[in-house]
Amino acid sequence: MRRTHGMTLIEQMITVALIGILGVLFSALSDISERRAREELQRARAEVLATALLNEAATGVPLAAETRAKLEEGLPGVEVAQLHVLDGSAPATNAISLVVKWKSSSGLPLEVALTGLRKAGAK
Amino acid sequence: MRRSRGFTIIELAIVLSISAVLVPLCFMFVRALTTRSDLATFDLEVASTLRSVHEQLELDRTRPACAVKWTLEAGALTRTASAECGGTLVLARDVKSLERIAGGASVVLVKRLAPEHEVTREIFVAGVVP
Repeated sequence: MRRTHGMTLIEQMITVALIGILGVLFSALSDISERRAREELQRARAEVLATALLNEAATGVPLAAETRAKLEEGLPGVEVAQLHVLDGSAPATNAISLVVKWKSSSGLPLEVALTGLRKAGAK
Repeated sequence: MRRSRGFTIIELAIVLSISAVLVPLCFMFVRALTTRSDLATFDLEVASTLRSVHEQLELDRTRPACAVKWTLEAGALTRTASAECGGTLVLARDVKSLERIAGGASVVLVKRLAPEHEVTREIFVAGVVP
């Protein structure tokens, strides 16, 4: 009677292939979590930028170019759009919506929108 | 009948040489994964710190009568004020530097991933940092 004393070549290849698949899976999951964390940091930066721009609109005091440049750091291809202005009956209650758009490291377009009050007469 | 009583020296040598190649490879792979995971965690911590520092600055902006002071001591960014103005709060830890520049403040956070591997992230908040 023939007895097996160990694994066959096929069994060993299957084991190695499974380990390889698991390795690739872990690597891909790690990539996703790393990318999401980076995007979360960019989102926080975009929120800070949007708040500063809303403060600018609310107070009428313009942001210094250097300050704005620092706020835009870490946001590749950043663009700021004024989505809409809700003109109320009283000018002081005018609202302004700002959309900060940028591209993530994987080229995905991302955006953050904030709404605030605008000082009467401010652009 | 021939009975096997264990590994031959050749089999042992083959197993040891394969292990010598595979073990460092696995070690490097796991280490790279751990580093990337730590980096991701650090980015999330930095995002959270940026939000809390920014919110505190915005809150303080609405209370101009309060005497607030931000200090950096032993890597902790602390905001000190009277009890009516929110008291003393530690806004961030592992802070390498705090630099007040025109229109805001730059805060550099640091994380040591390995004895020889240090990662820093800079955050910037707009406003007057006292």
